[in-house]
Amino acid sequence: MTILSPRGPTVSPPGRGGEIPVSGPRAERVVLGRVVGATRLVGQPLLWLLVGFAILAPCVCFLALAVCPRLFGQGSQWFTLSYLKGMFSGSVAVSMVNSLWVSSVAALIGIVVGFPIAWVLRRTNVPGRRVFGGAMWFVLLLPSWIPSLGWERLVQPDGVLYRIGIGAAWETHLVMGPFGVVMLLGLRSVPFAYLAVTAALNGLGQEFEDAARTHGATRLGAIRLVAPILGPAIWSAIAIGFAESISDFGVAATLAYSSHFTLATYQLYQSIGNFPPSFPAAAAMGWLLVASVAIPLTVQARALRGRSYAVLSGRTRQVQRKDLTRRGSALALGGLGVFYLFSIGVPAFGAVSSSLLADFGSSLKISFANYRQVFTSSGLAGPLERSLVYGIVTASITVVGGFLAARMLAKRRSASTKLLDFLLLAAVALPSVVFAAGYIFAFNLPALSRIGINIYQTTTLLVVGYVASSLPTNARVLVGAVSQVQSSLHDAARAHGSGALGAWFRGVLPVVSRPLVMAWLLTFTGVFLELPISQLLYAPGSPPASVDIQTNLGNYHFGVGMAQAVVAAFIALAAVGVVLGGYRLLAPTGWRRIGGGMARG
Amino acid sequence: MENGYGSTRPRRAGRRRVAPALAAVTAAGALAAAMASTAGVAAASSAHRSTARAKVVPLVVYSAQGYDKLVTTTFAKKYHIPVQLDDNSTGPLLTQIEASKNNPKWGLLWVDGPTAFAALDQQGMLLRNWEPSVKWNALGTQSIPKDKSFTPSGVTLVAAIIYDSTKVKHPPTSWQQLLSPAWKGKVGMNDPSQSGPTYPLIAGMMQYFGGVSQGEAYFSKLKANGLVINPTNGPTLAALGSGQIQLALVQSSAAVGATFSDKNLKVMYLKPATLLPGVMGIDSKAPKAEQAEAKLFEQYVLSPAGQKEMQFGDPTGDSLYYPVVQGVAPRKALPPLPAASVLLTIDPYTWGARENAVNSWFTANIVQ
Amino acid sequence: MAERIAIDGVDKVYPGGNRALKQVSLAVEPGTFLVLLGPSGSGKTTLLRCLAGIERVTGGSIAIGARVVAGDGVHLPPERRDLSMVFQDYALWPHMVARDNVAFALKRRGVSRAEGRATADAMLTRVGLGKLAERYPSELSGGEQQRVALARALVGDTGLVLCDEPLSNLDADLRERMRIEISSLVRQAGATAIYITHDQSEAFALADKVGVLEKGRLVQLGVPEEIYAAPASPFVARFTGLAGELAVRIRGGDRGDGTVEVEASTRSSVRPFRARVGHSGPTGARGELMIRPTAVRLCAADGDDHHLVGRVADVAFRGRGYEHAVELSCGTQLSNVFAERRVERGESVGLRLEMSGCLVFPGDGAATIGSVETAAGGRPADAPHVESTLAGALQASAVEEVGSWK
Repeated sequence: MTILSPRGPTVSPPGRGGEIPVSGPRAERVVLGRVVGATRLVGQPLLWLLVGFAILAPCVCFLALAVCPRLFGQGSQWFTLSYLKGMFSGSVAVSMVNSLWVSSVAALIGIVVGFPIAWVLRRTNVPGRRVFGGAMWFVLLLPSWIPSLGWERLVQPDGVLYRIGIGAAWETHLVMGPFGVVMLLGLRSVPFAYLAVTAALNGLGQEFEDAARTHGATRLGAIRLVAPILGPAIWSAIAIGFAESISDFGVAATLAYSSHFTLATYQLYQSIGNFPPSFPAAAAMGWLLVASVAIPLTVQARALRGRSYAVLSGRTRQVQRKDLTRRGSALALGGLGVFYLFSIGVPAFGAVSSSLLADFGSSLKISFANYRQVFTSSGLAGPLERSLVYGIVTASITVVGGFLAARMLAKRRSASTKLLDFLLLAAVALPSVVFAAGYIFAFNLPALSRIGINIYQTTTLLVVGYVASSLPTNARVLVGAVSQVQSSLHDAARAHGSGALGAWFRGVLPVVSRPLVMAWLLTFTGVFLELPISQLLYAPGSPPASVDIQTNLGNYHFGVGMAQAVVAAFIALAAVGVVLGGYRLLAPTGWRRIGGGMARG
Repeated sequence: MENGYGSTRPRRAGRRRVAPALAAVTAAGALAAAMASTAGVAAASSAHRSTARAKVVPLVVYSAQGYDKLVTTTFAKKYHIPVQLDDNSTGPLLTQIEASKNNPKWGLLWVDGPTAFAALDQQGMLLRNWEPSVKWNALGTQSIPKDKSFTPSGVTLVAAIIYDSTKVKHPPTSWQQLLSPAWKGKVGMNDPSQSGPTYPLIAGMMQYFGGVSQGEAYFSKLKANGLVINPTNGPTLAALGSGQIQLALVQSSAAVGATFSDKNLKVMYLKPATLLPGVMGIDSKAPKAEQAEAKLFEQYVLSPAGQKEMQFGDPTGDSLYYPVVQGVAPRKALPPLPAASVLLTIDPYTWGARENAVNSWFTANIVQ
Repeated sequence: MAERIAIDGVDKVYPGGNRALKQVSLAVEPGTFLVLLGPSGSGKTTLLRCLAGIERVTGGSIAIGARVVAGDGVHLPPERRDLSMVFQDYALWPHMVARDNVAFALKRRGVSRAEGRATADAMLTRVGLGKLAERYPSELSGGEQQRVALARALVGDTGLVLCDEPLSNLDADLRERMRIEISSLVRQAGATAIYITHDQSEAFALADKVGVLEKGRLVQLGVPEEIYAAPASPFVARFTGLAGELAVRIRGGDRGDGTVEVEASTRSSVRPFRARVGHSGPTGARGELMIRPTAVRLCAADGDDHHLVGRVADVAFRGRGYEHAVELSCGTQLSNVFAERRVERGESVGLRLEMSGCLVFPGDGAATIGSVETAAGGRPADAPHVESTLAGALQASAVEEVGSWK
């Protein structure tokens, strides 16, 4: 490749012993390229440093309290096992058992529903598959307390269904009980399964199914035969579904609470929320949650052991979508419709309608008073703006870290990748409040203050907290796409003269651009509507939007709070729309075509 | 393939083991620092926050009150003291305080309910033996603790009885009446583990009936008579509004606030009505300069100007309180204060210690 | 129970307008080993996939035995067609060991699991992999994987075996061995086989019959000897192995035996010679001469029995002799010119052409019967392929050296 520099053409690319210009735009690119190259060199250690500081340290500090309460002034003993012992009896034990089986079932629901959806959207020509695929991201982005609250508002005795006259006791009991909890958590696990399976389907060539069919398998039989090849993806989905379900607080605090069906996360929050709080007891529960993650990981290891799943080859044949018959289309659309109705439609209806109904009134009076209050009260603009900024910054940092972590996870399983896998999954299993409190313990040490480092209650620590709590899920979401990147793409670019930066841009970025955008959006909306970390770590005087909303939801301004939540959700979605629209307009066509399986329906 | 993107630079052997070790070392370092800190916390406590700067130290206020934004802003403007407000629900505030207690970062706490303050005081976290110089009224003097570790700013009552006057023609005249069949399934209240003001209600009833077990008996009977539990004021009042219940036991400020949007709702008090003061307390470990500012803040809050801000800042919620200083009248919408014989004060120290146990009993027996 | 395959006027148009198959018709008698030969894009893979039922035909029909499996609103799915297939990339299921891969094909026979495993083991032994039955595909080499795929295809004793370029991913030495295995095993099984490849030597070695496809059309169908000796068009001739092509002037001398006298239009031409006419119909004044490698011999440049002169551009040792690439003065190169003794690069040589291996086609390069486009650009409504007969084509290649150029 001939490069024109201010000094005239040079033949060899910079950084390879050729002439290196010292000024001008080319020089900047060289420097950037060197930085990128250096980043790749130190990428792994940097990631471990990030994981160590931001994730491991706070969690370890928090969990240490279970056996060492005196550590952060939370008790008098330097060592005790009483808290751990106390976990195995009474209501805590009950709630733990509840959480275990609920999460297991929810994870299974996630894959049982997510797999067919991924197959239908990826392998058939069902109409509207783009919309359905995009809507799946919507299900993922929505914080769990919104659907939960929405369902509750729908079926509770004075809820929307009753008000419009079609309420019934069995409906209420069905939703406000273990069944409803499992259903909601299961629906929440579906997007993870969908993403994992879709990414794996990208690499699954058509010939495996063709071979099965020419040797006598029916269409369904061929899918059954081929499905185990997607084993790693399926197990990964189950593991993350389990971890997300067991750490979920949104459903535990709303639906499960109202159903008098306690989950471990709620007990954990209670330990912290009681006054004086018992952090050691909460830490003991944290240990149980972390340990529970070993279950899906062990089962996964057992199931995948000894088998090879190397299917990706350069000659993998392009998949052709199956033409659905009319009946097939109707069936598929019906199934998809039911899923989205349950996971988005109903909760949205419940949430929006309860914000539209006047707070106190025995009739079905629709009033925009709540929304009016939201918009006239000057208080919300600042927090919203702040949340937007926090969201953008956090998402950008997290995506980089997540990409590095995903790269590590996608490579062959060495001891350190297994460790990273476990750490990240365990971090998902811990509720955010543990993170937040752990941050206070880890970073508010007197020793640090003595040397002048006061980062507790600063925006910096808040953003670090956001990043740390988003990183694990972000990494897992990217693994599918990153594992498809063939190193040869990058090598080819470099062999043809690109610098490090150019090689990455030309060889790697196009394949992962879409998943990166989606992962960015996932983190962005998560931060925007995130609560526990915001509550405990925000810098006084600069509240994010979610804190503001929660204050209203918690007291008599319920309708206003819901209206605020709806508005915030809309703003988050509008931002999503802007980013996606921008991507569509600005990204080269080729980028959008490749790697589309990850995000496209 | 092993090297990811085909980097041809030879990797140092053992690099992979170094990186996770880095993480472990970091975490271990954090733990070690924690232990060292805890051991040395006594020596460091008074010097940890930099007072080298003789400049104005910001006043960090942790508050759950609905009017706090207005009051702090006005205070800051008037006295040119920067105020950083952590406006949160009570729960997270207390969590923050407890979690950071080896290195506190707050100056003044302002929430409803003295039991939390009693607990803080027992841990030595509050500044003692100081009260602002104001003229207290009867409500005020009842709410000041012996060691003057915290200061009331206003009082609400629990429980206020709020009922739908279109449905309830004969409001109850005693708590015992609520146990009768006429009220079966029509009464609602909050869950004390979710709703801060509800525990004082329960504690007050227990004190009135003679003790914890007597109070448990009453609530068990109430539950047997179809008591409906909701997490907090909001859902309880919504249940009232939709007709699921006809009478609710809530905090007086919430009750009066509800009457604004529905004229059919009426508020009354039964004997006893427990006092629930909104309370301010100062961090004993804060730097002297900040403590001085906090004292000035308390003085301001209880001044006529501050009281006006308080009554203006959250007109449908927290502003509906009964003042604790002489010369300030409550907002007109409030029902008149019941006679002193109806009012009941609970000792936050005694009852604060029982809070967890009582709440747990309540959750296990009444909420479920 | 080998089946007869009848493909009748099959069209395949992909969404987007790509016409992959155009009116392909052929019949395959039971037990025949048919090889479909053609470059990439010729439609052979598409035809095979239509036979398998993995693709639907857009027009025409396919019958296997007495059943119509495709066309006329019928589309029998693959699993009901009772056939088996060997794939280019083996398509072994990576999560199953070799035995299970093979045994899967027996499921449709309804045999018990134990019986299936035993039969699979026996089949694997037949292909020489008896000891590797427990291995996963990733633990097998390419050749071993292909043999497992072959075992899988044969174990079910179906009447029709389809092969999609199964040897193209193998190393050269392995390819020959595997070719022999496929040939013998399939014939032993007695099934009808349809095999596609782009390698003409492979096709000729394997086939009972060869069908040549060009851009979706079947341009010639016949036994390998016919295809080789009497290609229906320059395309077929090129695809079946040429030393080179020359532009020639046709000097007439048509004696009704299918040969004419030609002279090369190049300064390298020494004397005219006779060549076979590779087409039917009138011959113009000009033509393209297709020269088979076997039709060119090296001789001394100063002799008097050679037809062309040239300069050796390259020489390659082939074990049994040498192959030379000879460049003519017009720049045309003739390759694969064999001689037992080595002639060095740069030397002048004479080239002698044998009539049997020289075919002349009309000068504008377009073939006549059997090609898609006629010279006038029209399309015949029904484009039949050329089913040449050995007798007619070889008749004219009687070893009659024409001495008319003396």
